[in-house]
Amino acid sequence: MKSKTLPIFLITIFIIIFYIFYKGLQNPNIYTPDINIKKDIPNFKTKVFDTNNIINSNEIFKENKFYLMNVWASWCVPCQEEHVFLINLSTS
Amino acid sequence: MASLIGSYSLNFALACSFLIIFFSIKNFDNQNQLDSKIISLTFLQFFLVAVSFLGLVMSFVYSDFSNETVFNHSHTTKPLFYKISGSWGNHEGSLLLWLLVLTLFIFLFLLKSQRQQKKYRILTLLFQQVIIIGFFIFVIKTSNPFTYIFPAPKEGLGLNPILQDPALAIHPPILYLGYVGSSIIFSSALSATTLNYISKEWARHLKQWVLVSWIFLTLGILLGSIWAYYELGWGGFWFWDPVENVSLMPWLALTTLLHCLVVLEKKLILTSWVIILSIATFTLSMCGTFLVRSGILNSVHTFANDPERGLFILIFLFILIFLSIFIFFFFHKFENKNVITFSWLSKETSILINNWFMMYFLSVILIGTVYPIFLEVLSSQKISVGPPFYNKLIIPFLIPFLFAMAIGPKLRWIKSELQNKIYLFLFLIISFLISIFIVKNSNTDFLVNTILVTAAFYLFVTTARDFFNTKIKNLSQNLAHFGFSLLILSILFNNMFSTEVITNLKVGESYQSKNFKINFERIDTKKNQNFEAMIGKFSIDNLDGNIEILKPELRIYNQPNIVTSEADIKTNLLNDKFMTMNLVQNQDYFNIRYQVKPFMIWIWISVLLISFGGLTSLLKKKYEI
Repeated sequence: MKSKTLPIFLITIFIIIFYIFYKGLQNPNIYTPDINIKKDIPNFKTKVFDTNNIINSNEIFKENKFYLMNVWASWCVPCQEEHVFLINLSTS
Repeated sequence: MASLIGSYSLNFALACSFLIIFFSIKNFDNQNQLDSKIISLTFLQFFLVAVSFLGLVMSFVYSDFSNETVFNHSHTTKPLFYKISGSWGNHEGSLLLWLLVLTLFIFLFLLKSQRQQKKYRILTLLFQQVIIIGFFIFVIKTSNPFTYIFPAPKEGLGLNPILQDPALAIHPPILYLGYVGSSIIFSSALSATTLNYISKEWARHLKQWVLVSWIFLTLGILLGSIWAYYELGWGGFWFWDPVENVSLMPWLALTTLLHCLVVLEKKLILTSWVIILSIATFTLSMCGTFLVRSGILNSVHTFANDPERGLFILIFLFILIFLSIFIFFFFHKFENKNVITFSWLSKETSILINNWFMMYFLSVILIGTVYPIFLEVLSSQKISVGPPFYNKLIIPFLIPFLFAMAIGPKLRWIKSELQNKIYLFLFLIISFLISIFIVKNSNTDFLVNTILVTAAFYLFVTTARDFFNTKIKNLSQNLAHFGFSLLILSILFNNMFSTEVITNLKVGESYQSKNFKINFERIDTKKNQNFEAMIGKFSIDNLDGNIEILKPELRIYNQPNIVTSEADIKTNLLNDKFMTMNLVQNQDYFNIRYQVKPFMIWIWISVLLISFGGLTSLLKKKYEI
């Protein structure tokens, strides 16, 4: 064996990688979104699905009260299940 | 009953391993011949694993729900074909398949390596047995496919419908032949290093195994990609998803290894490259297994989610890595640097350049794949790395790579003058002019795309010339390189000229765009064995008067209750017309996605050409130039 530096260096690197993977395994891998408290919703414009009118988010979220905004997709099964609850909530 | 036989036979197969090791060590120093007992035992081990695998398949076929794996992944109403393919469409069964291929390959290796030295064969067998034992313990301890449930449930939970597809049924076995094939390369490289057995003859022998796993890996990736294209309904063929990257990394390493072996076979240089790449290919395959099976990554495909399993593979993977590092530094005789002289204009140099490019692409993909894990552990931030990262880092380097690939194979061994300079230069001008003409008509970034398309075209015309011109001197290389140039061109055109429309339509409505009009004509329903289908009928009036009928489907599966969307694709040589349809909740509207994707079929054809190139090399007995 000529030089010992390279193998020792490599082994150290791999031990570090092992440690990081090991730590990574302990993390729950369920997606947890960032919490954005006290941040404003970015402004956006969009079309109303039924009428094609353009609305601005500023006009909707202007009053000083609580709002619930739901982001969903037609193909998303949990969203579909959530729908019934959300619609009940908005009508009651 | 089938499960019981499977379970016992799996344990007996593990016992075989210890017998093989015992006889191998006994046989290592005495006698000149390989003990025939060893070959018989290796066959017995393969046979027992095969019986065990068949046991699992039979449990699936007869819907034996007292077996937990069957209960979790099957259902009585599932068609027979998918009952069978369901046996490897899950974590436990797929690992059993992995073991089956491992034992098959080492048996074939012993049969095929009779002209090699006895010690080398035995040592390779021993290294392979270490891997095999590791996987046996992994299967039996953490992922036993034969766990009992009592009392047996009446009905199973069903197989995820998106896996009920012919391409995906054969995709895992083919891919595993590629992945697991690399274990032979790994064991063989370690054993050759230990015994200082590296020679031109060895390179030729190893090349066969590299080609076998390379061909299967290429085909396996192709099948997965085709499946994602039409089944996932995203309209693309590559998403840089971790699971895809994990299969691409060993492929890159294997491709580089193949090129190094060609040099080693000729000139007995680049031995360190060959050993490191042989080790890297298998460890990357294992690393892929770890990333996918441990659930450490957030990926669309992650299908096992058990930290205990992850920990086992992780420890096993690092044992193999440390073993390799030890053997490499302790036994490997480094080449004497003074003896080797590289002329800058020679085939060796061009292959070395190719190696470095490949290593760069490999590192980009490796970093992109594992970086989110590192970041999360070190700073608890969650990110996901997507296509823009890979595009930005890979495309600029693709350009010189393509040029080098066009010129490299023209060079001779040792030292050469570049011949036929005039036609090489002429081709460059022609490719450049064609590219300007093509890119002008697309509304993409002019400068980058022109250079990129020029490079791709240049490779295309130079390889095409060899392909049709020379006297089949090096057919396999020509085929593979021509296929690769076709692949790059098709991908580029596909990216530049794809068009897409996403809109919501009711039955009877139409959507008018610049070039075509989509009419939603009607919707039919159809009942099938395990799903109900809603089939939309759309007619597309193109500007040129052509009318195309597309019928995308929505399938509502009964067990498990999942809605899947089946794209309808009309393929011709120039482009694919691709349509998917989705439900909009509580509305009469359907969400329609219509895409025109040029040259899709050429992407598949070119990959087939590439693997066919490998196949011709494998079948050819003659020495390559």
